[in-house]
Amino acid sequence: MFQTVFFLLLCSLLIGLGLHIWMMRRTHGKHIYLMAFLLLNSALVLTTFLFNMAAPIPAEGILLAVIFTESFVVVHCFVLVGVVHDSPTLAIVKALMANEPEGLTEEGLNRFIKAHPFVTSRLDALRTTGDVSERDGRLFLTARSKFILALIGTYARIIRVDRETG
Amino acid sequence: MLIIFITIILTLTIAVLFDLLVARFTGKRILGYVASFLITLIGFPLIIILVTPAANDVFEIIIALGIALMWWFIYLNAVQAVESSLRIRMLMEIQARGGALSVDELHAAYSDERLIRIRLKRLEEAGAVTTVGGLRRLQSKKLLNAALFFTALKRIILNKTSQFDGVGN
Repeated sequence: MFQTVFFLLLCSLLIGLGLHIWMMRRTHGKHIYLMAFLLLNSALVLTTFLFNMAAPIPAEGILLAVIFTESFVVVHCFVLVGVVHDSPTLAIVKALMANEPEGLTEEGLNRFIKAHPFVTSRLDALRTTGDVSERDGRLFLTARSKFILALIGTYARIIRVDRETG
Repeated sequence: MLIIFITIILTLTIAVLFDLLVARFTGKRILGYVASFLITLIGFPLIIILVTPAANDVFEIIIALGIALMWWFIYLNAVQAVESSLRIRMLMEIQARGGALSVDELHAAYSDERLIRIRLKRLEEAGAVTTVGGLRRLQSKKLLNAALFFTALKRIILNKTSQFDGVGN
């Protein structure tokens, strides 16, 4: 059974990922996370149906495939966050690479800062995901972001993290 | 299959506890991440083979190890987001000001210039960047490879090389 589930997952993930990459390139990254969920799960349903026609898969095997696929969707979305949104650190690295071998000057750094409005882009993302609401030019935390911050507060107390802003 | 999932949860609990203890008592995050990864990668198959030596086939262990490593990766990302995500820092800033903040006040606390210069300072302190005669140069091969990897992924997936393509240079 596990061998069948292994090859089912291999086929399903390859089909799902292929479809997702094709759709992302066509739609320029719109609804990227919802598409990941829908396409990877559609590929799982399709391949399970096809494999089941050849030889019935026990419910236990299907449950394992579902848990694996949903875990993969989350991991895939985490990787996509890093791909879609430029990390400030990696953007700096790319600016330094672009200025090799001379080195990045102060003027070049200032141009780089102007061309990379990270704060505005992250604020837009917080508005889009519903983690902040805006009224009369003021930003407010939502119930979801308050919950996230409560979890983070507990974690920070455990490991005693305190870092400089930025 | 129940034994498999109990073993995954047990292994990850040990890995996370080890990571938290390393963080609390040494302050070294990379050491905790590497240790928790190795506990998951090596510890999980060892435990499952010791607990049920006759019942497992290699495909079962591969699938279960895949799930265990993905759950570890989810933990790692959640922890990394807490410690370095700009979005989380911005939410913390709003919380620190009583739960409400004007957009201008947020931009005053988090300007792009301040953000970039702090990150650059951290890179310099870590030896990843050197500054000689006002010229900054990259020294870290790891960061170079990470930048190349994510740029290639972005090109494949989104057909562009930066989130800010099109923003005036």
